[in-house]
Amino acid sequence: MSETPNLGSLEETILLIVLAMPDEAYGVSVAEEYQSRSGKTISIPAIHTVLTRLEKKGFLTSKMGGATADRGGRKKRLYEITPFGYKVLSELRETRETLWNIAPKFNI
Amino acid sequence: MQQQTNISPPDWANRFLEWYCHPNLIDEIQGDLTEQFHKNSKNKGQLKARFRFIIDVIRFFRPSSLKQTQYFMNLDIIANYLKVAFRVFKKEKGYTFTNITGLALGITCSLFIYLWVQDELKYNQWSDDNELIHYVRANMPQDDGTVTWESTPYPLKAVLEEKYPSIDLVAATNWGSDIILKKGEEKIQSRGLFASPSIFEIFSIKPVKGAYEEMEKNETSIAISEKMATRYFGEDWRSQDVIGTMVTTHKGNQLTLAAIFEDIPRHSTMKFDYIIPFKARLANSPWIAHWGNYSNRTFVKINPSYNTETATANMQKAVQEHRPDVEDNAILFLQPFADRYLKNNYVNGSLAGGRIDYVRLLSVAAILILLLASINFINLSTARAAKRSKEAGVRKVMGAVRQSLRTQFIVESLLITGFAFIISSLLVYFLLPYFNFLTGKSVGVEVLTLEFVMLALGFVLTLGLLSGLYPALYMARMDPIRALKGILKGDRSNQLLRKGLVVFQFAITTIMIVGSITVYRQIQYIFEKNTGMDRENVIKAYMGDMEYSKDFQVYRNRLSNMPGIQSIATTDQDPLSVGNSTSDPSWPGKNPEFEKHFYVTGIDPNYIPTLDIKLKDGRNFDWDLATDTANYIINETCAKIMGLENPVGTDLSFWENDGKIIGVIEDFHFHSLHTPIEPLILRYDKEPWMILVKTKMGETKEAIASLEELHKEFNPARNFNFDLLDEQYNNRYKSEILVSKLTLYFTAMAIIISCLGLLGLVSFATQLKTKEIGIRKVLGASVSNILGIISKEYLIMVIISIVVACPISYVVLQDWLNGFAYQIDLSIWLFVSAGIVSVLLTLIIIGEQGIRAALRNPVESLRDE
Repeated sequence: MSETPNLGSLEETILLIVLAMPDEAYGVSVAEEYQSRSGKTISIPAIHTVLTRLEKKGFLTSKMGGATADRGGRKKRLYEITPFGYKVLSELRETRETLWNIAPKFNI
Repeated sequence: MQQQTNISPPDWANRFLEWYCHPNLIDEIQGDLTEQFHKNSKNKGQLKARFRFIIDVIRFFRPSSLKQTQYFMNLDIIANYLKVAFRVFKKEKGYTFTNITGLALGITCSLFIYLWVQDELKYNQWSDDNELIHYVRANMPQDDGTVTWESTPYPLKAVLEEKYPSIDLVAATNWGSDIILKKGEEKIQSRGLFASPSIFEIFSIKPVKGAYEEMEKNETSIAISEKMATRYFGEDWRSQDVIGTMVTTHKGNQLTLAAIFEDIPRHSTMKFDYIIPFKARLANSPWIAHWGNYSNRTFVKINPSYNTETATANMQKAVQEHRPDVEDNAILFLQPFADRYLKNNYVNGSLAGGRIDYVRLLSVAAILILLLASINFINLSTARAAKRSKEAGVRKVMGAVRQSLRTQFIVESLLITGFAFIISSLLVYFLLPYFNFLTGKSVGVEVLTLEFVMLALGFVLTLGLLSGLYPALYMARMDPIRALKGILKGDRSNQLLRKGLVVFQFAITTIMIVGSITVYRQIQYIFEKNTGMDRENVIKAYMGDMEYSKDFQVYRNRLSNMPGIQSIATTDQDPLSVGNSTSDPSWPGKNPEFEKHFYVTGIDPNYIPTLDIKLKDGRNFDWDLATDTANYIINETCAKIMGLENPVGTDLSFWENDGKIIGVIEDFHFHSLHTPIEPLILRYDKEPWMILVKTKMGETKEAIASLEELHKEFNPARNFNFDLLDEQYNNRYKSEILVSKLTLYFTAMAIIISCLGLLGLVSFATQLKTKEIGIRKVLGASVSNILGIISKEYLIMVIISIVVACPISYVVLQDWLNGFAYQIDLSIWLFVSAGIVSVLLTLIIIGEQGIRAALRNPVESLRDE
């Protein structure tokens, strides 16, 4: 466990979003997806920080993609999840599900 | 199409982004931001989109997205800059020392002044709704101008509450009183107020325990501060059930404890440790409820929809419109509570500064001293440029660009200011206790907040940059060929600037010399001034619980036979600040239109001899004449104002008491020297609270011991308090004394800094002229000839600076002196002596350097190279 880099909750959400949108995950699209899923707004600089950090930790890889007129002719940096990232995500999910299974029902 | 081109992110933001952004990142960052911008402008409008874009560009301005070269400047180059800088420092120790010392002194002074000013500005800022809290004051128009009172009548409270929408809350308070609580046998004395319970809501003082409602209903209730609760109930009062219990005063009165409130912060002009409902005071002294009795203070909280001016406009006629019995032309106004400390000096009905003047004065002094230190720095650096021109030339020839030369010099100046800052921080740290002692403040380490440190650091860096900038630009601009040849003499503009700065420096120094001498002499004048009464060897003690007609007679008899006591008098007012006044007096021949307030004080027959006041005409009160209690003694000013040639024997009546004037005394100062002497009426009073004791010469200690001994017997419940009249007199001018001391120190600093600068310049100039001097000597010039050559230039500069300084200092100082009704004259000799001091200092500095240069053997000076 100690070798696995720490994964914060925002980071986890963003990682899941990248996983959910193959071939189309870059700054603006991830930010939009995050806003529509969580209802919270996030700025482009903040998204960039998270994505770079995730890449540094080895959860993501990236390559340069195509440019559009909308972007003033600038290319996109497209992100993709690594097998390691996928493994960490699914481990997290398993741990959670085990815990949910043993938790008693809670009546609200 | 037109539409399309119009919608684009701000050009400058884009250019800024392209300037700083690392090329590997520009695609994704600019692309994402542009895309986002287009989406935003569609959904949220162009304005928001542009705003967002700019914010994001600024947020991307962080190390991770910067170009490598911009923040990762080659470490080797920086190391080289530092190495060269330290070599220069080492090589020119004198220059480095002069610079660092001058700057460190300047920064230290400014830091201290900053601390002092910050502490002054903290006063009365503690309440949550500070901008709403006001103090009601009254302007009383009189025949010879308006006087501004601090007291207002009690019925005003109800009128303000009911009739004026601008006023939300009103509290009446007295001027403070002592209470003694009994806790078993122990007696606890503390100071507080009789005040309307709304005082807590006005000042937003929260109860720690209990509630204030009880106080509205029950006038025998009390609220105490946390500090007093600790003294009365012990450290663990929070866990005790104390609210609703009875506390007992030393006279046996029972008061219900309604609440315990938060302690009032130290930086407050209003302090109290307990509050008793004002109604309790009304029950004891019903006459306070009269419109004519301007005896208490009124605090208000104004409605948030008003400000100070509009609220004042709304309520200023409250007394005129509602006083039922007589016509009262008092014009009320609201003084913000926050201004009570610094802006509290009213002249003729309008604000005329106060302590804020000293705050401003010292702030200006701080800036000037820093300026002096920076000027030294600039002067020495540019002067030195001549010497370093070869270095700069070689660097340029070797391929150094302007930028790197500039950086080199700026790094040097930053290092010097950095060192100076470190030294001055240490100085401030070690001198802080002395500073607190001097100023009577208790500034501690808590001032060293991150904010303060950042501010100071930012400031020092700016100072370093600014003072390094000119030399850096100058050196970098130099033509390398000329620099290498060593031709720099022709640079006139540079020399002119340097001369101008020296003149400026010495002008400031001269102004400060004149200023500190004047302040010092005015203070001396105050101390030595004969104020018309003898305040030496007089002790003020208090009646306490003694009754005048019973215990006090015994007390006086016993005291007069005890060691150290010469005479004993009583009065109902402090002889140094008589506060009671009235416009009531009438006499035969009084003009019915006449309007003027007369000060009134109650005395006994011993008062005049004890204070050694001179009787000009008539006689003193007589112990044995029962009728004298109806008679009056007046001062000369009073006689003049009443227009009486032979006042003795004239009828005088006020406060429903018809009597005669039996004597006239010479004027004595019963207020500070800031104000002229007012008319005063002395009456024979049998309800005094203050005892004035004249001690035998040199036996003050014995007298105090005697007083204390009797105090224990006659006032067992109270703490023994006494004041020395002359000490109190000096304390009145505390801020003047402080300013006089501070200006003295700062003047010394200014002199040292300016002289250091001049010393540096002169030593430099003589160094440059070594060969010239050598040749002159060989050709037969005498030492005095050479001295003349060296000193002429500087003497002229200093004389110009004196000429500039005199009129400026005259205007500034006359303005300050005008704050005193009794002042010294600004004589021509003052300016002459300040000028002589400046010239002498210059001569000493030049002489030392010049003689050394002039005595040098020309063989040595001509040999090098």
